[in-house]
Amino acid sequence: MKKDEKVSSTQMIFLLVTTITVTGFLFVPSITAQYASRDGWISVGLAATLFGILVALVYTRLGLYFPEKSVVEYAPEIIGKFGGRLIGLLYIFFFIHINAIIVREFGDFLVTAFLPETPLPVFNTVVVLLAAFVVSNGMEVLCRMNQFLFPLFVAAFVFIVFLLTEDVNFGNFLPLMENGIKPVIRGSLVPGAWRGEIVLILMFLPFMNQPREAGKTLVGAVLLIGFFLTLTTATSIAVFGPLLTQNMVFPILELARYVSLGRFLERLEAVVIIVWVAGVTVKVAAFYLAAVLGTAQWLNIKDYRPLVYPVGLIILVYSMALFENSRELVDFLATVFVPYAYLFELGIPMGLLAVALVRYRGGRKQ
Amino acid sequence: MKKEIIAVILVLSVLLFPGCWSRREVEDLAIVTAIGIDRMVLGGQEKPKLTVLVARPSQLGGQQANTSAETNADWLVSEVGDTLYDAERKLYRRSPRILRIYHNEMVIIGEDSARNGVQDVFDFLQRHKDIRLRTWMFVSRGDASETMKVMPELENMLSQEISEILVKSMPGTSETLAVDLRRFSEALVTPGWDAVLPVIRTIEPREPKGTKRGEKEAGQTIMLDGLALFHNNRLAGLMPPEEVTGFLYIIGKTQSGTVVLEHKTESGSISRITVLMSRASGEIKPVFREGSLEMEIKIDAEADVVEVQGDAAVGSPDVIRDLNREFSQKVKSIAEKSLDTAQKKYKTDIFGFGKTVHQKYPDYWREIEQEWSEIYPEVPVTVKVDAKIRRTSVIADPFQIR
Amino acid sequence: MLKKWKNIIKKVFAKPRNESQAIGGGESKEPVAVSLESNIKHLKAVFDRCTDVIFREFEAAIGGGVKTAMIYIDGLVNKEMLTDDLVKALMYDVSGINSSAPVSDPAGYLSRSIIAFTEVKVHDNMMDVVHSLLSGETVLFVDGVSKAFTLSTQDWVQRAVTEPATENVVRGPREGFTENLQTNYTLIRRRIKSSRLKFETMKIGAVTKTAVSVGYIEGIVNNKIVDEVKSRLQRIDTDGILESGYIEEYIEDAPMTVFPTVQATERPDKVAGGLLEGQVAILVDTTPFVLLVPVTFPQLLQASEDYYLRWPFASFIRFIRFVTLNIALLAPPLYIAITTYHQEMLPTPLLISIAAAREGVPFPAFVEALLMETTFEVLREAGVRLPKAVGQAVSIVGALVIGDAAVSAGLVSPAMVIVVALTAISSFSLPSYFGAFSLRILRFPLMALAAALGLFGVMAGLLALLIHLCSLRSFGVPYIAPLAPTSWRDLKDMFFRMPWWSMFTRPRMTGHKEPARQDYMQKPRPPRRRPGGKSGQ
Repeated sequence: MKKDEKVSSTQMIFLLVTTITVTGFLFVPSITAQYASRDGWISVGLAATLFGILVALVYTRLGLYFPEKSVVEYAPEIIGKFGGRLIGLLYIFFFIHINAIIVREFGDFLVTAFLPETPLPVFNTVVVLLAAFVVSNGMEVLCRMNQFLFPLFVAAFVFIVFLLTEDVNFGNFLPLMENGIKPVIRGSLVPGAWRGEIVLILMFLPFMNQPREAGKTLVGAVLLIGFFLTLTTATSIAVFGPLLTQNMVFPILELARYVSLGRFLERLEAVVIIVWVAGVTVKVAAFYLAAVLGTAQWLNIKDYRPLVYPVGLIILVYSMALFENSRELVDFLATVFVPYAYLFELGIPMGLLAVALVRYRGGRKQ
Repeated sequence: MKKEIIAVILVLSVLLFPGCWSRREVEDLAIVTAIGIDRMVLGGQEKPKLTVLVARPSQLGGQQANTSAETNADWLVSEVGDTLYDAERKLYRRSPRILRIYHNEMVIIGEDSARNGVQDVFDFLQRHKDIRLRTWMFVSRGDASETMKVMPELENMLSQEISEILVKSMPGTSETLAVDLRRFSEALVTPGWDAVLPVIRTIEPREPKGTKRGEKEAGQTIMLDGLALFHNNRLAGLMPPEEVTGFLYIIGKTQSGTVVLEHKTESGSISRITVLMSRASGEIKPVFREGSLEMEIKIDAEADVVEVQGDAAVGSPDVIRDLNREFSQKVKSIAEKSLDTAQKKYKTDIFGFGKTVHQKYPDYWREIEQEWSEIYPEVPVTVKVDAKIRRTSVIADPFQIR
Repeated sequence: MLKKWKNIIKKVFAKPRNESQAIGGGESKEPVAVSLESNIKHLKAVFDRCTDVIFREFEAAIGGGVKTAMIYIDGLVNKEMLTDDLVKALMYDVSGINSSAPVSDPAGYLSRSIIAFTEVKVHDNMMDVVHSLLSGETVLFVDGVSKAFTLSTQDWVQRAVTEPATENVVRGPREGFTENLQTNYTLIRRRIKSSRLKFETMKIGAVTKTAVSVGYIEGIVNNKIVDEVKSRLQRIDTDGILESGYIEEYIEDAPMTVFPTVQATERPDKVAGGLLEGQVAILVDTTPFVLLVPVTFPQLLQASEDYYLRWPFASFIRFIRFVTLNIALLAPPLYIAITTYHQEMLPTPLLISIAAAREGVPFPAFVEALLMETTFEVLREAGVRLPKAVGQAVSIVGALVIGDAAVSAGLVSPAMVIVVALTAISSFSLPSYFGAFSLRILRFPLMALAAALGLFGVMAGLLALLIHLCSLRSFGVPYIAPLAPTSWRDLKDMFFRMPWWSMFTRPRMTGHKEPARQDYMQKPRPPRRRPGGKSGQ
């Protein structure tokens, strides 16, 4: 295992923020607006962030019992060999499955929005290949690459939002919480599940050069993610109103297309493609790395590199077999994804933490 | 490492060689600049008719531009189909180049089609991948396809001419509102808010005919003429340009525009004073007075004197004070006139009264939402105007000609 | 199968050419003989058929005449010096010296008291003698002494120090390195007058025996890097090094990449600047190109002039360079991607202009671009190779015939000519000629990706490039540092060139051993009292 690869907590924050925001900003505004309508930004901003902080604390507490190990390695230590290894296997499956979904989202978006005549497998193959290239270069390269891209993402994002200030109508947020808090909570479930993707830290904690800072890192990441997703949701509600937003498949794309500066700088879809392609590559690579690392640890293989291509092939094939049509994908994200993700993002880690708290009450023997 | 690179290259080449799926060279495109949507009855069946204006690049850009040639700079073509998308594809039969709509600047809906409801048009526009939300929307008097036959006067293409009039010139009059697809859609789907669209029509030019110049420019020209008011998804009526000004005062979209005041001077004669709006804002506030809903409209306006016909001493602060009062009166009457047309005559909530009620009193709104169309025409409205004249342009009093 | 081939290849190529075998039979390790005759005979055998080796025998006026022989290679030595200081001195001047003095150590006595030369080395084996002779020293044998004296008489025709051809500056020194290692030492030493500046020399190349020197400043440089450089140099086993390009390919970290991970420069000031930041210089005899390691990608975008111009201009120029970098790499791919896939992204009038310009062009945009780019590369190559006078003719043909005629014949569109010209100019505005090479090569695959998948293809290509760049290292330093991993402190010398008085530290990656570069608080301030000014003005 290449545990000598170390990344700083800033790099980790950037990695988590890119990983979660990049798909979030495409799907979250519309899905949230379907439940919470004009209060979508509260769902995304407050409720989901609170949830994010909760899981962040769970992961930190759990991870710090074993700062040198990943969940696949320490789960057997906490709850015994059989259960632990089963949990490890479940997580590997979870990472691969989520990754297949992301790859599918990626291809679907590009087919819908940009190159409708190009077959889906082309996009999926390219992104999996790129991610495989990253993964075989290791965690440091992934973080370094993301560190290079992250400022570009932020710049692109701020640029689009800034150019739309003229079209913002704050009246669209009124009335606040018309139907009480319930729709807001319901709307926060999906962005919450998204926020919970910081579950990656269960695999990546051993890479941190200062594992003690994990808590701060995770909370920082959750807050930053909250900021970006809230801003996206709020902008699209403020510009298009809740009713148009909830019927759009990709509000952010419409936002980019809607930008017009002096009738010269128009149709900024290109910016969205750039962010999307680059960001999803990072995201796929992150989950891919988690899956490959987990598999190697589960099988007790020293070097994960031989696993890169087989796992990539599984992800690729899986991604194409997953859904029949694009609405199934969105429907999955809005419904099934929620309990499924919460199981892995909150349920299992909470369970592990509870057992660990009882077992290691007096401090863990090293 | 080397093996990986070879693998990547192999896979990429497999992917790339049959590639180029969506590739289209620029010269193979028919760039649509304007779309017209009409309704036709063919064989007893109602069918949509799609008219498009396509740019002719060879007549437009670059050094080869040859505007004096016989061919026009844009090509007008229309087709009837079962649905709008079907009609679009049927246009392919006649177009040697592939129609591409993403550069489309405007959609013109024929009057007939608008009166029959825009539900289907709306879905076509929203779902079409290439139509952007920042597309100008118009209603045409008569059929859109007829309006689009007009030759442009100053610009090369009709679409350019219309959009320049809309965006660059009309704000100087405050007689129409530029509405893009986003605003139109939002108004259509939001309860308690009805849509408006600018009206476009053809006119006979007023320039004398028979002279050489008149002959050359004999054809019809286009102009923007007020607003089309929608109720739900149907065209309910038209609002003349003078009343549109009042509508713009109320929703606070006034950018400029003139108001003519009639002022009785000390000598007893009537002076006509033209003022040019420099700033105006409007605010709509729902209030409950004695348990019943009322709307309060507050308009703030500022203007400069640009023309004085007569001997009004606009240089004196006293006169200005009087003028301010008359100015406020006038603005109020203009606003009330447009309120009257929309609220009483056509019963359409183009001001978004319902939306403001929803925002301010959500609980009350829930009770009345279903009956809003009946309640709306009866809602009492009060208009308060605070209008001021700020400057008198580059001279003060009018000159005395002796 | 593969293994078999490998073995065969190994058998054929594995044996390094041993110099002693090449010279003639392994006898060179032989000690220097007492008898003059046998020494001369030996050397004559070694330098058989070498007409430029001169043997001169004479009698030195020591103790009534001692048979002496001097051997040198014509053209490599200063003959006047030999005549005046050696031959004349030995034949006439030393006769007065008391030669009857007992000589217990004749060799030491001779070199200390008789041979009037600044640099004299004493050898006792023939191998060294041969090497000294070949590097331009003169060998002196004295009958009866079993030692050989080598005198440093090197003097050969050499180029003067001139302005470097590859890196021109408006402001800054106009000196460039020459082919002479000694001169190059001087050029660096003149800039860094410190005993901490070290040069360690070794000979590489079994036949050429090229002197290669590793220069660094002790205390600033990371010793690990120096050791790494030395060990990589020592690993080189080849017959000849004719240029530092050979060395570069032997020691670079990533041999399969298009990016240079070793920087080659002709400018002594650049080398001095690099040494001060903790880089290691590799000087190679017979070439004016000095190598600097480790190097990062951003450094390839920096010119030495950046540090001589005032900082606002330097920062502005850097900004322009980032723009040109992007144009050089991306303009043709983006043009292809946007005009053939994403026409919606162009402003309408621009799209119509391009469409009008392309009306009647027979090739798709990709082929058109490929055609023009290839033409340009051919023109560039022709311009470099041809004599200067002809080179101009080539550019006229290129500009007028190919550019203008191709457009008016309708073969290519004017828009494409603009794109290609812009790209060409941009790629030349990058300070590192060798860095610009990599961009020029990468443009072609990116163009293919753009033609196949549009912007998505370009983006995928760029990402692959980024991943590749992130995985590169140059002597342990990440290639795109300080961008990633980000070192905020080092960004001062990245997009901007901060004022000199604010650059307190050396780059973290190479100079962390002695990070402080200067004192704080050096920002110029107006004096409290104006010197010489009268009060009340």
